Amino acid sequence: MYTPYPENMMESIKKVEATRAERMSTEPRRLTADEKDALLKEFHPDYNPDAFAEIKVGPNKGQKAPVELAEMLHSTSRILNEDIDITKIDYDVDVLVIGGGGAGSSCAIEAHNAGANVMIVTKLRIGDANTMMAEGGIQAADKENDSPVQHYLDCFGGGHFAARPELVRRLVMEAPDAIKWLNELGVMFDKDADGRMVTTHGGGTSRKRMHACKDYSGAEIMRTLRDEVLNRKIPVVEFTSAVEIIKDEKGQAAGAVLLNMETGDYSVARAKTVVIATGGAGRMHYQGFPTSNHYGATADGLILGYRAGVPLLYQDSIQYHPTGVAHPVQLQGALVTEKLLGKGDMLFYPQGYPKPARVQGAFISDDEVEDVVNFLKDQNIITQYSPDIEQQMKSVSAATGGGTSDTSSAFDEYFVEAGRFIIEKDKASIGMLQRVFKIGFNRAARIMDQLCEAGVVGEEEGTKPRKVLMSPEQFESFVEEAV
Amino acid sequence: MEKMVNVYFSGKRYSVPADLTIMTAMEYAGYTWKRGCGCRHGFCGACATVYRIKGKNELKTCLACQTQVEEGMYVASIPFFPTDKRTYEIGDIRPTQQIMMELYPEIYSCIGCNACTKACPQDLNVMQYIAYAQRGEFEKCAEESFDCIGCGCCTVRCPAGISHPHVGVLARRLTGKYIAPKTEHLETRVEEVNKGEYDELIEQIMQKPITEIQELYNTREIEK
Repeated sequence: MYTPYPENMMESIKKVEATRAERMSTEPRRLTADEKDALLKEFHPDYNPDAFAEIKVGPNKGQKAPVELAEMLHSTSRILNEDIDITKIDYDVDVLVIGGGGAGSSCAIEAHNAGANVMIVTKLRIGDANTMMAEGGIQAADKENDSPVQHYLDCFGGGHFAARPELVRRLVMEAPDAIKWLNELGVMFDKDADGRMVTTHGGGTSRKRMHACKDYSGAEIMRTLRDEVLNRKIPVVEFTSAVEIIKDEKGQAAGAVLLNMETGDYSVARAKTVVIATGGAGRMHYQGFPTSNHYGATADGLILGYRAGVPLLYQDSIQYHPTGVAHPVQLQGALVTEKLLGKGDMLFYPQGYPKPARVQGAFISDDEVEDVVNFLKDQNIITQYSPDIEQQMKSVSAATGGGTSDTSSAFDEYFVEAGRFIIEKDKASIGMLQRVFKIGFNRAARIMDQLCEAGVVGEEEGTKPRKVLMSPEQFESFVEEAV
Repeated sequence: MEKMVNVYFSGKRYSVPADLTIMTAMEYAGYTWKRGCGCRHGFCGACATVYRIKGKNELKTCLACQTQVEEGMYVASIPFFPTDKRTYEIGDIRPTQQIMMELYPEIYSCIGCNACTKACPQDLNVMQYIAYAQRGEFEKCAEESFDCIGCGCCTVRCPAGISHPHVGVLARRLTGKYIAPKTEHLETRVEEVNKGEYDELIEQIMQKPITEIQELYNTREIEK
């Protein structure tokens, strides 16, 4: 169904195969901090100077951003020459949430909980978001051997000690409560029979704290959140993009100009609070990278906020996910779960399968299977059979008056006659045996099988009759010996 | 030369490379997606599509982002299909058979045609999970429907007018909230955090000089 691996990939597959035995038998050594740095500097796209440009305007002026993002930050407003009357209010709410993913939906639910009049605008549909696509899981330090402090260390170190400590603190301190909140909304986290969360390692974790919902963690979270938003009848204006933040006389956000993606019409939303909860920038394909991001992740929210004076944070660094699909092209960039990083797993891509399947030990060839079998055989393991079962098998074969182990008694009583008849007529046909010996199809077919096994006639050949392989003399000597 | 195939978008013929998906083939032909395109990786269900191969009778359903084009494929996307989601307060309902009867009574009109199962691009046994829902076996319904991406292909084909994905969501939420056992270690941890038991410790690590944190990080013990 899909195109075969291109040559360059076959080469790497061969390399994987050639080194597997060696890799399987060794536990990878932990890299030193210096080694990690050297690796990153050589391969991490953030260290590629050509891919970044200086920001010329706004709160981050003078800092670096990927050239694609910088270009958007420098662009003029979409509504520059449009005739929009912002005194004509189409939506009037307490809280305007821009973005219909996991963050936006959670925010809307909590605003609704607090009694606010809240609405969501989203460029696509509610739930068309990166949350929907996160497979691996969600981290929270909720087990006994773990703590928010340990989580802080992992997170801060994993972010190369460059994170804002106060943001990391919020993340790690509120994570357990977020899991509880989701669970209480009905998200089906993987649990054992006692209710303990099934947790695994994620990339760079020192404790198993990744909570999952099978392989649909994000999807399970997102569809639950979406269901809850709809249950609360929170208005969701879909296929509508916020294109400019409106500010009041004090310079505070007071709403947004919205663009109907389908009709091209503009409308105005007024709000006491505006929340930007939009996705990332993966679909801008920085440095030509494929992306695991959603179709809508085109940095709209970053530009929207920046134009209103909100500084960007870490715009000079992008999260590159190390595992993704490279082949076939249709799936290029599809996320391969982070769980694999913790397990040293490999992927198997069965032909004609709609998605890659997760199987331990990919690319196993027949040769390898044979090697394993031969190895086991060579161990000279003495085979032992349970006498009870042996006895049972013998008594069964005795009772049915046959079996395959003993050839002479296995032959049908018409076997010899049928053989002679077929050789004489030079025609092997089950129907003919039925007529001549006045027997049913099953028995005639069984006789034919026996004749085939004895080498008197050939294998089935579709609609053509079987070949007769023995001469009368050969058959007689066979009968003398075997029957 | 790349192998090309003829496909028909809303009846109009285009010659496109044979290794493209329906989604990328339409882009190749010059279409720009607004509706009917989402995650592009088979998770969001935005790109439900119906097609028929010229000369064949069977009407097939699929996801445009996951299905390769074929010669003679007549394609129409279903960017929106009206489904009927009932609303409820998750805190007020309980996992009883009664609740399905109240919220989604049409599931009892299922005529057993199995068109939903045949239509499912995720290969789910849709009719089976509806049967579990009818009997109030929410856990089984939740398991059976777990890989549902809500594309609605089943709903498009259902003669009884059932909105299957919503039934699955309800069963899963009831299972996740009420049927699955409570997680004690989670409750305990949340309580500890709320009582401020980690406040001082987190403050301490935040105040540490970078070199000290680096040392801690690089020598931290990793759970096997």
